[in-house]
Amino acid sequence: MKTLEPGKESRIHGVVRSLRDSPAPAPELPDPAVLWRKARLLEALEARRGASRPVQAAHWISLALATGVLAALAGSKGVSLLGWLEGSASGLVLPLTLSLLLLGGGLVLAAGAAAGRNLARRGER
Amino acid sequence: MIVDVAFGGSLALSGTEALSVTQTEFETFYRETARPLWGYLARICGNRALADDLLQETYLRFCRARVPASRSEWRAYVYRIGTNLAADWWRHSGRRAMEALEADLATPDERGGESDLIRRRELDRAFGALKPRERALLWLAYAEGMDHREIGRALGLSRGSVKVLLFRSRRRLAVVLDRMGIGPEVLS
Repeated sequence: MKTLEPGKESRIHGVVRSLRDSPAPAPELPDPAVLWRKARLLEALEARRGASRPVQAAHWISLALATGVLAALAGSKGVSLLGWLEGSASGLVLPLTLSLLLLGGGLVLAAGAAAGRNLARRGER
Repeated sequence: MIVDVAFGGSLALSGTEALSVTQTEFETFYRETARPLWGYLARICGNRALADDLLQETYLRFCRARVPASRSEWRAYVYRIGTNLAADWWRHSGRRAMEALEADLATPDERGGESDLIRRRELDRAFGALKPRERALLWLAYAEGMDHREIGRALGLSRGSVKVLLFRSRRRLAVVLDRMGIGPEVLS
């Protein structure tokens, strides 16, 4: 192993030890029990965030879906929505569109209910 | 290649080698290591308030992490977390902020005589002239008494790299001390 001259070596050792032992004001360290509780709280918070992620994703998907369907229908030929649906050549358009709207509405309601339940639980705590 | 600022890499442990720490274990370990770790963080960051924050964040991460199964490795592990946090801070704030903060650590305690204050200021300045990693290496080796293997774990370096870098750090501190005219008599 490479070493410096013995004098320099001991001087460096002395400098670092001297800095370590200098009577600097002692830090006020946090209580370990408080840190432990804080860590557990953070962990629970992260877990809750992870659990609510699918609900949030469903919320955004349903919103995007509903917006897309409405935009598609609103932009079609300037006729009334029901008129366009009824006059459509294919008999499948109406049931499909209504299903999409119902699905979107259902997802929005489910996400809203889940979010409400989460908020209520948090409020109880 | 080893860069100047980078300390360590990933802290990931394999499932068989890792476990979750219990509250009693954590509290015992904290009481043993918190004060020296604070001293280390304050030295490598050059700032007391920052060391307080980093210390708290280090132990919060330690509590939530899966730690090495062998308790003898916990010290290096917690130093590694602290070192990585300090390195992150260093990367984001840059050298200029660091230099401004070093003045904070160099402010000595009023205890002791005037000559003692001057001496401590000189030593602070000499040590502060080194790069953060050089300080980290020297502090772990001489103030904490870690061996090369443990230093390597704490800084995320191989044992061979620690040997080489520690030698360079010693040589650099010797040059700084010579340049500042700090001889062995200052330490007596």
